[in-house]
Amino acid sequence: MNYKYSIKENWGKTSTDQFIKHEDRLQFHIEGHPGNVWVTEDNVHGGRWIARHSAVVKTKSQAQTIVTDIVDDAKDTWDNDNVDGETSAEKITRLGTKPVDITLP
Amino acid sequence: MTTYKVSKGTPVAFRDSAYPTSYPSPNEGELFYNGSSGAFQFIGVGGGAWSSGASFPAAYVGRGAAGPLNASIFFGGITGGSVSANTELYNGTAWTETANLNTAAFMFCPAKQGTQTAALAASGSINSADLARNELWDGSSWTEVGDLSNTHAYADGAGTSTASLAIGRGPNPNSLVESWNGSSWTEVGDINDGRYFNSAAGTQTAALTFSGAPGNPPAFTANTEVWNGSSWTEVNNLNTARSTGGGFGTQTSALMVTGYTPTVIANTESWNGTSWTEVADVATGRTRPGSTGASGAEGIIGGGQPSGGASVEEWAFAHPVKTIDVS
Repeated sequence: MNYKYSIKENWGKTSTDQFIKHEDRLQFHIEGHPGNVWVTEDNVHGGRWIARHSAVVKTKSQAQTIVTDIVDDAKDTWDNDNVDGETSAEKITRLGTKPVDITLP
Repeated sequence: MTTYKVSKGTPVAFRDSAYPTSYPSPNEGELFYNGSSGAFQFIGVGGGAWSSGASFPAAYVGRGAAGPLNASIFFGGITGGSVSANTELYNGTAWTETANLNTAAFMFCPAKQGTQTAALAASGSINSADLARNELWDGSSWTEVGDLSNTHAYADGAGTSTASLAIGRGPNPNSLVESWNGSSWTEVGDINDGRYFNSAAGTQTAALTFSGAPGNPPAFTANTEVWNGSSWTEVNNLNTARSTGGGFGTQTSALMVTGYTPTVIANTESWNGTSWTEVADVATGRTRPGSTGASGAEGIIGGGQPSGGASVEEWAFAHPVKTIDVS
């Protein structure tokens, strides 16, 4: 499957419109990542979704850089958030697991 | 009444309005002329899918939730680095802020069959300590009610505000289950595989628990157990073992959504009372979301780490109705 990469803030749903509609999900693959990065299937429906939202198209490399920078910052934040005497398991319970690298498809 | 008119040999349905999008539709695949709008329309192939819901007022992690998709209540969670007491109601289109919890907390053991007028926020954590306390929602305010015997933070719950279960417990995996009768908690039969960060569905007498951390994190399991009111029985596993995901529904119709594997996944599985089947993914994979739903046919998931943020997704079955431009 080929993909397109774009940036657009997820505005959710209003009484008349949805950021991602039910029928969108039946017509093309879409996945969201940190930094408002959206990976959409490269077909006519995915292309229309990008156009409908005036999303800013990125190359895969540009999109990956945005995601990686945010994940790296989140890792640093996680590493620096410590409580005296806390075990590794307790830290994971408190904060969640340490953020992991994301590789865009 | 539907009538048919022949246009160049091809029968086309005639209606004075669009078909409803309810699922399943006997008219799937049908081309019709909508006499009201004056347009040709097509009712497409339907199915279950996630679509965007109205975003939370802010980014949250670890919210409690109860009720069906379009009449749900979400409470607590971590937002902006602080534990929150915020409570919001969802009507399928927008969130309405209402009275706060008395104690800010997150990672509850909520009775997800509760409603917007009768919900239970059981256990939870305030980060520095885990709670055995509980709060009852009556539609306008939260009131503290009888304590659990133990904390059940980082686990999950089933049932209603007057008849519920707190299943499993953290921060170390535990088999303990407690039952609420509306005024007090009683310890009942343990689950077979102790865990926390699990998900649950169903009622006080017909519950289901699935996924979770059977050891210190980052552990995860595919194990599923059903409760008949007196004991737990292991049944068919999830296809993908995970912890810290969302889950909701009934003992015979439930959904497992997202989680940690040890990567964050968007995977969704549907339970039909016998086995799990992989269905459509959410758009944004997440851990520690808030989630609730009446059954495996409809539900809602919101917030979570690492990029759930304020985003909300809704699970429903429907048919797309497409307008055909013939100009």
